[in-house]
Amino acid sequence: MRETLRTRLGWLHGWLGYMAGLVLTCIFATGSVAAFNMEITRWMQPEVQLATLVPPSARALDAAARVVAAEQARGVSAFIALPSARSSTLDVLHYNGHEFIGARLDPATGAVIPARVTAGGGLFYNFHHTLFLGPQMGTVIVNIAGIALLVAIISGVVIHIHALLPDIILLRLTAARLRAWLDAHLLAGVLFLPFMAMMAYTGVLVKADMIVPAPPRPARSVLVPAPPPALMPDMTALPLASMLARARASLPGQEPGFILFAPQRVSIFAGDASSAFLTRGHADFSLPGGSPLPVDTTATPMARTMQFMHGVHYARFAPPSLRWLYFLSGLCGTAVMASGLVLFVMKRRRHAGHRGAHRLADGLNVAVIAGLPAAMLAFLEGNRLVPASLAGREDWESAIFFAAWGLCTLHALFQALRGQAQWAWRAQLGLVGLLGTGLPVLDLLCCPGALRAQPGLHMAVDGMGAGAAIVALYARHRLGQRGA
Amino acid sequence: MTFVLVLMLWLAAFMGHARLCSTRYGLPALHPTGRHLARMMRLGLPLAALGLAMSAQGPVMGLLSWFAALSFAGLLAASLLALRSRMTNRP
Repeated sequence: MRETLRTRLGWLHGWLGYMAGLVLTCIFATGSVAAFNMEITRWMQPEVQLATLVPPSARALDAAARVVAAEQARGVSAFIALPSARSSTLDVLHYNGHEFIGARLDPATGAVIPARVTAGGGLFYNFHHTLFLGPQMGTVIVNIAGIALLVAIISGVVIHIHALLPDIILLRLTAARLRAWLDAHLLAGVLFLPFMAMMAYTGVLVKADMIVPAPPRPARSVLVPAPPPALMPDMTALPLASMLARARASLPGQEPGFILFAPQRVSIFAGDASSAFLTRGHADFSLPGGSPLPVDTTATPMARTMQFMHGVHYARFAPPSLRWLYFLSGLCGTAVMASGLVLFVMKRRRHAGHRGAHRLADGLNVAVIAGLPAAMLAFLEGNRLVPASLAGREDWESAIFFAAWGLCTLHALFQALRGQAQWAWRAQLGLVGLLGTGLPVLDLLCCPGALRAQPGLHMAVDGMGAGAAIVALYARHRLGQRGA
Repeated sequence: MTFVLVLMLWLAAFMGHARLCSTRYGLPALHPTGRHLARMMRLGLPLAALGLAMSAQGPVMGLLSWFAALSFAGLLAASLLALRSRMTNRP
């Protein structure tokens, strides 16, 4: 009976893990990188060289309000993002359907910094939570994949329960190849189980409203016409500096992060870095007068729990050290899934290696495990190569990412379906090596000034590219030694 | 710095675990006194690490750091043991 359960769960873990794993590997890889989404955006805008954090002056806030008014005149709903430890500029941003983009202002003078428009780290963030398929369908798919991950985790634990603790640090690199891969999968899977379970659970919960149907809203009577959209008052005359000072006083222990505008009010929200609970506490002011409005800040235990789930998943409260741990843990989680994909194909090679479906699976593995990092590196290099003044350049950057990945996928499938998956692995790992080693060189050649102004940031991003290259070239070397 | 200390405590706990399962990890067997000490390390050091992390970093950050230290110390311990096994098996 017990063996039957384990066998059945093994089948479930294998098949569900493989099907969802293809998507989950991409979600985890981009999510890990998105832990540094704002830092990547800063890297991708080398014209912004403000290294120190300066509180926004009244002049700068007035300039930002003028940019907001200009955006609203164009029919674009913009908001102000205040300087923070992770981004030292005063930003006027709007959502373009995929990312938050907009003008960057010097928080001291209010001068607009002529920074290139970029998709930035927002591309990874957006891909992580919607797969770039739009907020509705993409989020639903990601949520279903998250639930599949939870099922795969539970089934994996039950299958491995006897050896879970005794074998917790067992890694036999000198054993047979399949055994060594299985050891690596189990080792990382068990050790990073708390992180993966936490991220899957909180990730599913924070977007649960997308898959759990909401109660139907009362239908509007057809006889009552909808009210016309209210006109926005003149933003340029608002006393934003004094509103900000009052908001700071009414949000104790929290630093203001965003200023949002509505026809009747201005809302100043606490920044997400304020606490592990993503409260979005806010202070409201009436328009056009700017007098404070009453705000109800009480949260039910359920709302408080959800604030904590959001906070822990997004980790915006985390200092750089914890953010690095999220990033590295995410990469290890990605490695768990990638090794699971490889194991699934390896286990079935002897009996089904000649079948088209097996070859297709082999090709998809190459596209996900080697093609995606290649596309991510191509995206970063594209930022340096696409002209800074090109109109719609953020779309060009996104197009480079998807074109590179698409080409890698076509190449992998073509080679794998011919029974030459090894060639696809070697070529694409080599490509990752080439792009990764090229990233620091390109950064140094294109933006030496930014490298001098923010050496830590550039060394971290370039170093990650070089690190990816080393891992890929080592894997390629091992493939050459032992065959596919 | 706190994280490094927590990581070291976890690493020592994992090494104690490996000594307790000496056959499985290809390590020499321990005397009864050594086994007792290793058992104490395996139980006590993670608790000490948890106390240290939570007192130094607060409950949320401390717990997250403690789990991260578990993961990375486990990887480190497994790598060290695999390296040792490879060295001893080398002709």
